[in-house]
Amino acid sequence: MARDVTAPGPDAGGDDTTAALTAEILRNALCVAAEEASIVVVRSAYSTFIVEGADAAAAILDARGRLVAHSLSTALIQCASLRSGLPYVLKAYPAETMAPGDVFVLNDVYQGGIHANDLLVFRPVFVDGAPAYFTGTLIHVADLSGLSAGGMASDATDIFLEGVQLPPVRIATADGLVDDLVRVLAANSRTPGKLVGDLRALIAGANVAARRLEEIIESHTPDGLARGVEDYLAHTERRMREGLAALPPGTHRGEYRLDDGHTVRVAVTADGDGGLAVDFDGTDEQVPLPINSGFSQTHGGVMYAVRCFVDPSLPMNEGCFAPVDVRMPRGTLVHCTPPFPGGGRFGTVAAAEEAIFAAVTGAFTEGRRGVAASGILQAFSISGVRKPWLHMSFDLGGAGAREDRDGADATGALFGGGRNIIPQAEPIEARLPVRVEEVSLIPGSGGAGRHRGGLGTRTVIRMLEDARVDTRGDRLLRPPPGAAGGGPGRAGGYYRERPDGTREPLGTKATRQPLAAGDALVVETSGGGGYGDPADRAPEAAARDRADGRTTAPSPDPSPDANPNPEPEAMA
Amino acid sequence: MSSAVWPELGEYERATTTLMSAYVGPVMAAYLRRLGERLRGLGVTAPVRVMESAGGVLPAALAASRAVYTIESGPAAGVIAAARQGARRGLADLISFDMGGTTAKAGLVRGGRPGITHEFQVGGKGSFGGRRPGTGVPIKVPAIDLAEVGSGGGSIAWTDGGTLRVGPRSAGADPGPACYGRGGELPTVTDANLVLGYLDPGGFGELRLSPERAREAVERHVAAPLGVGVVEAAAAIHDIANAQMGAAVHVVTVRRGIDPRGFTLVALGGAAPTHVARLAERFGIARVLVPPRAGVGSAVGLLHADLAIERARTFLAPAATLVSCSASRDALGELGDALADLERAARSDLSVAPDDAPQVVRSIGIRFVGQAHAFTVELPAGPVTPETVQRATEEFYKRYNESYGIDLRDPVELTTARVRVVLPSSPDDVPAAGHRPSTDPPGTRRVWLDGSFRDVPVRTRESCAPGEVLAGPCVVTEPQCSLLVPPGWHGAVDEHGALLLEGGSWPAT
Repeated sequence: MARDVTAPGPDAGGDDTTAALTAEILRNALCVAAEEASIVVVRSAYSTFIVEGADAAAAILDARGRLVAHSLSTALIQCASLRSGLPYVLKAYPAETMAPGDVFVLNDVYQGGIHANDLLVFRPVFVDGAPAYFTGTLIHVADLSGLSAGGMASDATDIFLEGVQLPPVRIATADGLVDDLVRVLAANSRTPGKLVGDLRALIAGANVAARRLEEIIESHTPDGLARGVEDYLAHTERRMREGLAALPPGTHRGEYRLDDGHTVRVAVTADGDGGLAVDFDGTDEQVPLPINSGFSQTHGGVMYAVRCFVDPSLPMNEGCFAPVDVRMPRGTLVHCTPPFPGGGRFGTVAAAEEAIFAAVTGAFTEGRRGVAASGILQAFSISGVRKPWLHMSFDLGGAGAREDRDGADATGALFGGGRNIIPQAEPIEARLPVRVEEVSLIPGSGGAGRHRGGLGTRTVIRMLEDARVDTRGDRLLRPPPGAAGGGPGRAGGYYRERPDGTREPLGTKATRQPLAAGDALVVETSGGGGYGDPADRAPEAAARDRADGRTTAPSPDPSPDANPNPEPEAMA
Repeated sequence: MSSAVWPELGEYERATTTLMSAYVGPVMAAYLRRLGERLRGLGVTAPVRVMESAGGVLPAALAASRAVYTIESGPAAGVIAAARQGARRGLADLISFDMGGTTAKAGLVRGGRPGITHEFQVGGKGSFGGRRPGTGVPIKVPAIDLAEVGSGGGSIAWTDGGTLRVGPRSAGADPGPACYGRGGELPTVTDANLVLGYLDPGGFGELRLSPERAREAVERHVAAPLGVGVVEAAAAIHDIANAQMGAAVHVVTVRRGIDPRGFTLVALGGAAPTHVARLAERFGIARVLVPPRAGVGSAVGLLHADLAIERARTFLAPAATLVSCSASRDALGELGDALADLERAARSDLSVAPDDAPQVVRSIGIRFVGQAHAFTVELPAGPVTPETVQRATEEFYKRYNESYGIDLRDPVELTTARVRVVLPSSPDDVPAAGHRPSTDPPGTRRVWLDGSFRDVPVRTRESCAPGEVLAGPCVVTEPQCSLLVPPGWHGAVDEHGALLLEGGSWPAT
């Protein structure tokens, strides 16, 4: 914010007010800088995952690795990754060895990254000749090698099958891109042009945020900014602690089982004074399949879940992280170690979140705040057999019903905020040899209950050329259970629909399954679980559901149809 | 039919645009019908026209069927007013600053032309300009590109755990600020301005303002909770309002890589003149224009708007098929036909007569193959040739590099064909407010400036003779507003009744 200074006379009295005011302005300036970076990345990126969906993150951190500000539409786990990755950059390249104009990139899941295709880019911002702040950007790039185009190989048994591994490395200097490295990366991508375009977009975003930060330093002075950041983080931490102090003191336990039976277990200990410990001790061991989660992702999921119990207007910065002590035992599902893969972490992250919800909501003795489980993100990627095209996308399941309301339809990300970022049909059809025949809510897919679970969706994509598909979903074999007597959501799935209309199920973690020209991929997401006894549902609510086409049955049906695995598990 | 309302790619925005149109259309049609009938009943026979969001006006009948085009018509009028006021004085680069009771908007005029966006978000998060995808309901119709913040004269100041906040809740005009004495008890920006002496307790026109009520509201709801004096609290409210408005100006300038320092800030709306010079100082803007009747500036803007309509449709084609030596005549021909069809339809919308000479602006959306975001680039008049498309492509490369700092020359594609037809409005100006020399000596008032109260001269606008130099600090009052000229600023009334202020200095850091 050039020259955007607010200095209501230094001796205007009311120092507290002045300080609060300066903090407010500074905070806005920092958020704007991060926001602008993410807009630049989205608008100049090539990966279809990004360009139609605006799925990008940008953040400002300080040299101690503390998160200061982030872009508005950032999914919290992406933000957490940028926060987790920076210390590893600083370990590999000590601050005193950095030069102005340096830009670093990494994707290593063991060093704060997410998986091969999510690139994290950092640029130092110098004050008095030393890096004092960092700007970071992150997007899912089009392709970076690995078993499957787009990086979604659900049969990857180790990290090396997921794509090229990047520890923190220097990708650009004041002179521009480090061409040697760019050539290696391009040579390892099925879509080299798009990959390099995405890299440029990431760097452009980090550069823009760095420029804004330099302007802020110029107008607020280095000390002014440093003080402002300290106050901002301290103020946020104070409010976070106030919120956490309202949680019932004691140790509360919860767990959630994934489709394949692996279980995430958590013990949440509230000290009643604003401190919280979240311990995943007892969680199952990591497995040689990409369902494990890197520590940054689990940490992000924890923050998402914990923030559900505090003031939602709290800014997301280091002040939110500080009071929460997260213990993720190495070598478990929630903290994978080499060489275990981590690309499909979102099922595990969502399980960690559900386990925390179960633990904490179960602890409230009065004013229960229960919530049923949600259908979650179901990813898929379709790639051309003869020509190199790629479509990666995901659909969202129905959110679980809550103690006081129905679940929302098709928003069950449990993935760290973010918004619905599913690409539209027409731009896809204009670009790729597919036809999107249907995108709809599935009537009756929400779990029955006093409050109904949110609906899942059905998307039908017809192939106009031979293609292959990778799928990656969870909560399909064990659909999202209801709570307090509510029914489970309807289980979704992936199907191949032949031209004659016959349907064959595809695996929930299938890889490179053929889809001939004329076949369609059908993606159905799971509905959310219901809350409370379906017999207690208000008649007018049931009538509204029928009128809106959300249910088809004339009366609440406690066992939704077409549920391949009718063995719901009670929450907590 | 969505294909009639907005024939462009992207079913989601097309659906929201169509739904918005269906939502407001019938209401607006009925309203305009009643308005027309009553006006005729009063003997007013002039055609009724409605401003569209892109700053032109539409015949009332067309506006009703394309209601969504008018969704931001009010704020757009302010930008038009600024452009017009600037043009009259040879100022082509302006920032309109329109501050009313509930919100403040900033818009940019470059080279005499307001910027137009095609990605408007209805109800979008205002703090960063309402442009962020996902924060509002996107509609695809063209709109004057402006940033809006929820901060106006009626915005309520409150405290949140030791932090002072202003807005977005507004007391509106009824009950209005505490000082109006109409039942409002919460302190607003207007109350703070009254406490600081920026406003005349004599009020605006018929309305008297009560400094006692203002002080009491600020004291009870801001000063006491924060443990500061009432004047300090009022000064902080004023400064926060300025900071929020600074965000709107920032969105349309600095955030787009545009240095605001060469621009003239134009004050419109009742609350703007009280804040405009301070806002200018925040950005190092050295020139401020306060048009005659600034308090109703947007309404004046309506009178100057051109009759205009824009039509567009998707036109997807790689630029290579249009620019190479072997450019396919077919593709070029199709683009030419698409533009001609759009122009015909737009002329018909406006009932352009054969002897009218409308301005026709044709443009194309261009993007890199594989990206989603397109820039809109104008085509010159005349036939569409490989050369004109090539020049448009070069312009795209240039603007891409300016916007993102990436110098890229990859293949590009056309996305949209767009035509805007404009019938310029009459150049006649609204009569200027008359100069009425006052025999009374100018009064003075105690005004809070830079940390202390000072006695400063207070003038009425009509008592200022053309050419007379006004030196800050002083206050110039009008029936609808009150202009604060801080120390370091000086200005004069020009022959059209506008006040042009110059000066400003960097605020202390």
